[in-house]
Amino acid sequence: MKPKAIVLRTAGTNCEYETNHVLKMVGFDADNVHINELIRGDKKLLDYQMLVIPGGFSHGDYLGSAKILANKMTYKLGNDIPEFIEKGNLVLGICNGFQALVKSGILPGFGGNYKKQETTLTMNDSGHFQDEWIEMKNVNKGKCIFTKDIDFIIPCPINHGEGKFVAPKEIMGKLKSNDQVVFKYVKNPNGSYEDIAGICDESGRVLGLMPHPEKYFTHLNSPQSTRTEISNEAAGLAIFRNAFGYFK
Amino acid sequence: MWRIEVSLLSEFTDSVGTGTLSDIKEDLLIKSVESVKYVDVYLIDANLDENSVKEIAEKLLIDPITQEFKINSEFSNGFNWAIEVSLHKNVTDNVGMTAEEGIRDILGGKLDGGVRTARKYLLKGKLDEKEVKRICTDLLANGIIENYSYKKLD
Amino acid sequence: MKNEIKFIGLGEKELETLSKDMLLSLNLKEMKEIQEHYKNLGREPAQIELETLAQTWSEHCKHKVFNALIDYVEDGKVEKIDSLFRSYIVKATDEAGKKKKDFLVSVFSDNAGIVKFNDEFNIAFKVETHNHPSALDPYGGANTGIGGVIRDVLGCGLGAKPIANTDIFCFGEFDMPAKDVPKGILHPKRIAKGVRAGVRDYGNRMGIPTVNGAILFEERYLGNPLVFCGTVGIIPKGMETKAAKDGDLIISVGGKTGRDGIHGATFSSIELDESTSAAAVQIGNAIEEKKVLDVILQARDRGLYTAITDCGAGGFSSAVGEMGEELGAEVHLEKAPLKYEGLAPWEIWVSEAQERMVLSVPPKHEKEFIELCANEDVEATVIGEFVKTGMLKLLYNGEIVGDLEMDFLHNGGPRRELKAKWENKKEEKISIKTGNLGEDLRKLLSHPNIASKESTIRQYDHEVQGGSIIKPLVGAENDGPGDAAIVRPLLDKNDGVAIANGINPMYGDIDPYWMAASAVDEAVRNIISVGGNLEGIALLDNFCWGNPEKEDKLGELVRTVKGCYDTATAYDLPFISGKDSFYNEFILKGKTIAIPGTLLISAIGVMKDCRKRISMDLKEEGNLIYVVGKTFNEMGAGHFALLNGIKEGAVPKVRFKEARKNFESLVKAIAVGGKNDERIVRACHDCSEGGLGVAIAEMAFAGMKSAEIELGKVLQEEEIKEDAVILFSESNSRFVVEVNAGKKKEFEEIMKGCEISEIGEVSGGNELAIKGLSGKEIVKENLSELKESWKKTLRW
Repeated sequence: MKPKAIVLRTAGTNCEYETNHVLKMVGFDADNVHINELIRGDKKLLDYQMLVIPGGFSHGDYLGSAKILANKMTYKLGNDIPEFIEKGNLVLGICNGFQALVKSGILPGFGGNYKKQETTLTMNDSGHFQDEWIEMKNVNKGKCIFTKDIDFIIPCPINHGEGKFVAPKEIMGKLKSNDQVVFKYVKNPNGSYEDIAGICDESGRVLGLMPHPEKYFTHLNSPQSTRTEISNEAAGLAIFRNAFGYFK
Repeated sequence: MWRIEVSLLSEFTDSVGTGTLSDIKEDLLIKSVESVKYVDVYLIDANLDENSVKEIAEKLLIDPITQEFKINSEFSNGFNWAIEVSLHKNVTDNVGMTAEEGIRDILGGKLDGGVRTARKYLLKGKLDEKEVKRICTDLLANGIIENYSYKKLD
Repeated sequence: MKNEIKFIGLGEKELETLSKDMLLSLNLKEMKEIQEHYKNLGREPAQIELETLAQTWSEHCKHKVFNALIDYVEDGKVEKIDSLFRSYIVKATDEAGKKKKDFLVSVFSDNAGIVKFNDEFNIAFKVETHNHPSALDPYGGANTGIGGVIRDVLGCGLGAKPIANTDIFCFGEFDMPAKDVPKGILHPKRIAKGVRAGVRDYGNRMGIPTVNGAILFEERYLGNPLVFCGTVGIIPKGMETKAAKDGDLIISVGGKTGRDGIHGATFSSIELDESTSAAAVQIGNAIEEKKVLDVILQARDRGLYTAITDCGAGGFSSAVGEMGEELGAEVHLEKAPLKYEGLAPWEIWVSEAQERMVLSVPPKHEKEFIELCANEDVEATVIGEFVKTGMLKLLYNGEIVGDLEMDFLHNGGPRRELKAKWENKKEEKISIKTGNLGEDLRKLLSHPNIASKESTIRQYDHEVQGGSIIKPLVGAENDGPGDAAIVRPLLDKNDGVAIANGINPMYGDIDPYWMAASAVDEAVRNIISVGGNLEGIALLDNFCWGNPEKEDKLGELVRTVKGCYDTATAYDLPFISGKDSFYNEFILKGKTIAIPGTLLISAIGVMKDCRKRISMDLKEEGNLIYVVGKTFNEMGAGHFALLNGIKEGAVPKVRFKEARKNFESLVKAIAVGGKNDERIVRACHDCSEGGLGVAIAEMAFAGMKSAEIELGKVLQEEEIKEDAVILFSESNSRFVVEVNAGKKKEFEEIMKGCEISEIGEVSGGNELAIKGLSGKEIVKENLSELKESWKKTLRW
């Protein structure tokens, strides 16, 4: 049986289409589910093996990115997501999804406490939204299951206004000593501390990142593909293939 | 009516503030302004106790890593002028409406009242009233949809 | 009836005064026809009925100028034109449609035009303007402009899913000294920044990639900027038609109704001045609209409704009026959810509050539909039903407040009769002294109309939805100016759609006919440059004009429309939708200033295989550089002329026959090959603003590859003797093409009989080197410096 992924959406989510597509491409069964369906209990998180929170402007990001969504996850879903993680399932937050994971405290989730916000993603140094292709490298030493064997640079777009990763010094130290730093930008586009583009939790099964690997699933997506021949196995797929591989 | 002001902690770059500063200098050619600090203002018109308001501020209105808040008092230290811009009463206030939904999520139920927002700009520099007014009319506020007010700080 | 207006006894003067006082924007002829109608009914009209008629008969909704009878005098010769729309625009489409079987799916009849995409899907496209509101409140105006056009696409057929946005702006000069900007007008730079932010914050939140656009600066847009917002959508085959049925419920979905934008439709035909009503300005809520989009696409696929339209100009009055045209409708206005208390029934009826759609839902689906909406926090309210009475009956708390015949509402109203004139000017070819061409080139690259728009482009999300194939910025450093964007909406298929535009209002100062031809030609060139083809192209026409009651202004419009017709038919291209906006004028120091008559041509190009895409940046050392198309001495109203204050010169024309042959062969050459190194053509760039000089410079610094060319080798009109003319003439129908060095023969074979010239090659180093007619090197510029000249102007 195929592992099942839930693509969680809410008002203002806007990357569910391509995220769903990539999950199916690598072998998942993927459903787009509105958070209200989980809140009402029409759908159960535990019927799935992977939770993906895709990009977008959840609830407009009017009170800071993903704030309302993070609060809904905390106040309305209660213990659902922590329990989902503890049962050995996977969680991936991309862009707005990463912001939601950070602001709800699911990341970094020190000591299995998934409810304390320790870091944040704040306004880019430029002061506005940026769309550009960046390169990121996997710096994780082995904890994160999503980046197993990724020893190559992944180019993909960033599309965010609030992507600057910020953490107090001692938290930064802890992230590093715990091997929770996963992706770093090759060239920092937004002022993120220590070029950080993505982090994971202590279990390595929860990953959040600002760049959009799901938008680089074919060589045709690459802005360089008219210049140099690029493999059809686009680099953005690797993270999703690892997630799928985890369930084999 | 509760007034909550939210401001970035001083160690973080205030990109709205610095952007406004360069607009004032480059577009309005008012060079005497030295710095601008940006503050979000939430006006909650609802029957809430102070603890609830504190919870709302902490859990909803600020980012605890980068921001701080004040309830019913104002950020103003070290600045010479304060400008406040808000939308006319019947103009859609998206931030206010979103805050209402966020408050309902936190308090679990209905919110008896509403939230409106304002943008506050603290200006440092030797500016006269005429210049401050020009900053309001030519840059920060559009009279068609917004009100503005300014005051000298001491 | 309640709120009757004393009307049937009024004299002519009083009718005119009433129209003005009520902001109806109806002329005397129209007022008299309404008077006659009510005389026959033997009663006075209710206020809400007059408001409804004014909305439905407004310029915005009825396109009275484009349907008018026009007496057109060209050089003293009189011509009677019975509807510009039918005689030229529709005619061009009909003729193209005969040659492109199955391509046209729905044209001119819906909120957006629809053409065939592949066997399962069709593509919808619409471009709107939102000029007056953007002048007053740039942020909110742009916000609601983009929100409105997205709803147009969502409300076309049974609902198309938006897949791309395109935005074109015309502003006053951004570097104008603040003291020269008159009171009541916002500084052009402030307008530009506000519009940019408004489009950004709405488009990005909607999750629709903004993939294409243009920004122009010209002093005559000072008090009246133009904001064109376009949306492309995809819709499953078979969903292009809709019809409300007798007994269907009228359901309002989305935002609540407030006093926002009352009289917006009529407001768009009033000249701006300092006292212009603030009610016309609103702020959008993109998340509300995104929620509506999400539920509507689900409801569509479940077949829960029979028809849908957006609440745009005229609000409910237009939406319900349109949907019930063939039936009749009964609306209970008190049921509409309101933002605040105190709205009069007529205000509810004509309010243009944003983010609302109207649907006709069969009663058996009511529960499921409303539940679906509620599940995603979208408000959906039954406000009435469609009934086969032929009447539009409006009630408020059970009391009839209006009762109008659908037939009179939609088919009444006198046709406008207008006069137009045009005098052809004698054409002067000018000789231009060649100076320091390297410096000229840098200046041209820095011209705001040509300069890099990166600071704007990168604030827009062009990647969302995962279908971005050719991006707005391309090349070695991802910063060169792509010609058209390509989007692949179905992520497991290779069908693509290219999106481009053509606009050059300055040419209209010499001859609007050639302005139109140039705009169509430019849009087509852009599509071809990325790998599109003529067969897949459909056009939209957007006209922004001054006062059509002025004969000379209308004359320019007639010339423009004729240019559209001739060019479209020469290439067999259909217009599938369009829009017009008149009275784009403002008062400056007591004088009325009209914007330059502005035609925007937007093009979509359906591609069967988007892997055939190509970008404009130079790729490889040793490859050959060709110019396709012939260069003429056509410096009039071009950017070199603008920079140097030259008023004379011939405007660029289009030689239709030669152009078409060039296009068709080039399309074939571009399509050859799979992998990059198997391709004949490695780069292709349209020659437009700034001519050959700017085009080759852009290609070189986009690819960061040197180019060496010789002007003597450029195929040119015989009498050109000046390097500056060859380099900067903006002659149409030309491309600069990089040809794989090993495939020269194949290229020339395919291009046989076309106007081509091999002018140089891609070389090593970091320079653009140009040899003049004398054979001497006249330009040697460092690529990084050229790029910086191009980037620095609009870095704000």
